[in-house]
Amino acid sequence: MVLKIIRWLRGYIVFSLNGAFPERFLNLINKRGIRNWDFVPAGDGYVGKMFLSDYLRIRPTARKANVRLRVNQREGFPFFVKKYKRRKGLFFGAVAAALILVLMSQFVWDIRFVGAEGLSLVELNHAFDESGFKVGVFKNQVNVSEVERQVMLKVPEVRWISVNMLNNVATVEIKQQSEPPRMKKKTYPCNIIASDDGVITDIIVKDGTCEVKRGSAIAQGQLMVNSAVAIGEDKKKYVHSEARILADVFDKYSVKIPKAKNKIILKQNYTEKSNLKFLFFEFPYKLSPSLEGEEAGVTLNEKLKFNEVTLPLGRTTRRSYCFDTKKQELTKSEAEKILKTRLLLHECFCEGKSEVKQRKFSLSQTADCYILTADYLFNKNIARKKKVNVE
Amino acid sequence: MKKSDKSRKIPSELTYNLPIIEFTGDRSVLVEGSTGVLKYDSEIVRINTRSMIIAFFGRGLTLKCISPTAVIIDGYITKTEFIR
Repeated sequence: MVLKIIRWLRGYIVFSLNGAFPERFLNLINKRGIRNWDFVPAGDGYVGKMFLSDYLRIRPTARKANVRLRVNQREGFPFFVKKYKRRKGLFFGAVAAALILVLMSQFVWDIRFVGAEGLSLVELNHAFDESGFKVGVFKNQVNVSEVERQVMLKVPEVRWISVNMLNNVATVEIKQQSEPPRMKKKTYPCNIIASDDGVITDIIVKDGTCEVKRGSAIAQGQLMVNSAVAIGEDKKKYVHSEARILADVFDKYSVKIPKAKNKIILKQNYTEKSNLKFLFFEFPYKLSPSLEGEEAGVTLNEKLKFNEVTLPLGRTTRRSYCFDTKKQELTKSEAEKILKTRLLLHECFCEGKSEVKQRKFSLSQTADCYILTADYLFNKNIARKKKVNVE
Repeated sequence: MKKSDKSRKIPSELTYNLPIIEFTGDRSVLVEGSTGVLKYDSEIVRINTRSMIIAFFGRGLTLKCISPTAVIIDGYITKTEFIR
């Protein structure tokens, strides 16, 4: 392979040889130290290859050996240059391409994150931007260890980070912090009191002295489980009370909605502005007049990829829609439907652990809004811990 | 002749100017000590050396490499002849 490259760089010719004494010719050129290769019989004569510089020296030898030489083919760099000598644009194009290649390889084209599944990419990108590490930055200017340190300080969820530069792609490997399990301190003595008014339906006491009975009515803040436990005559100890006390509790919750609401209606017409992005430069290439009135828009970033490699070329398109705001009056049934959905969501998320035994909705209205009130009967755990100071 | 004289003996290929021939199966042959090519076509190659002429017969014979003192012949060699 190396030999082939050397031969191509020096330039060689493929010649054919005819005549009376080809062997003599071979011997003569060998004695003169002229190299030839692939010298094979072909038809009546022979075909061989020889360096261009050597071929210019063998004319007298050929005459001496009474053979006739003919050039069949010219190969190699000197002939290539000669062929394209007049087409200077090609030469400059090749030089420009080489320069661009060298220049572009000095910049970061893409940043990829590995192991950042639980983290916000927007936050990470922002942290990298602030550290001066972004797409289009000059590779030699980046102090990788400093960037890593700054990102770790800015994003506390990151435990370990490593920025690896491979060609023009920076791969950021991230290990996330694992949160330590929460330790519940259960050593301090505490009573259990009622968090709501209600009627007790079930009692499960793990630790402490129970002070209430099933079926008894209870008021908010009333002591239900005492932390003092008798351990003999006149002796007692204070424990961390643990209990689950279920009670039927009445609750009331109301939600309201305005009678009229603003509805946004998007119009059909929109405008698009596109910018061509090259590294961190942006060049507008598609402009359109601004819309009259209020507008809302979406921005789309597209990057050009070639064979899974992100190129430093992309397009940013912002599409703006014109919209009208229309006031819409809600009917009573519509308002009731919306408010009931809100109340059900409240049940799911705020009283998820409670059992709804009864619910009663009542819709009322004021001058400007509808109010839906729900009267609930929950069966829920009303045990609440209250620390006891023991001296 | 003493034993020490034997060990000091110069190799015969040097004293008698004999060529060194190295075959690789029947596909290739290297002749060291050649002084020129006397005949070359695809069926016969005759190489001149200082002490003899060596003829290689075969099919598709080609001179892979020629230098002033060595020749490499490729092809299917069927017969070799030494002519003094």
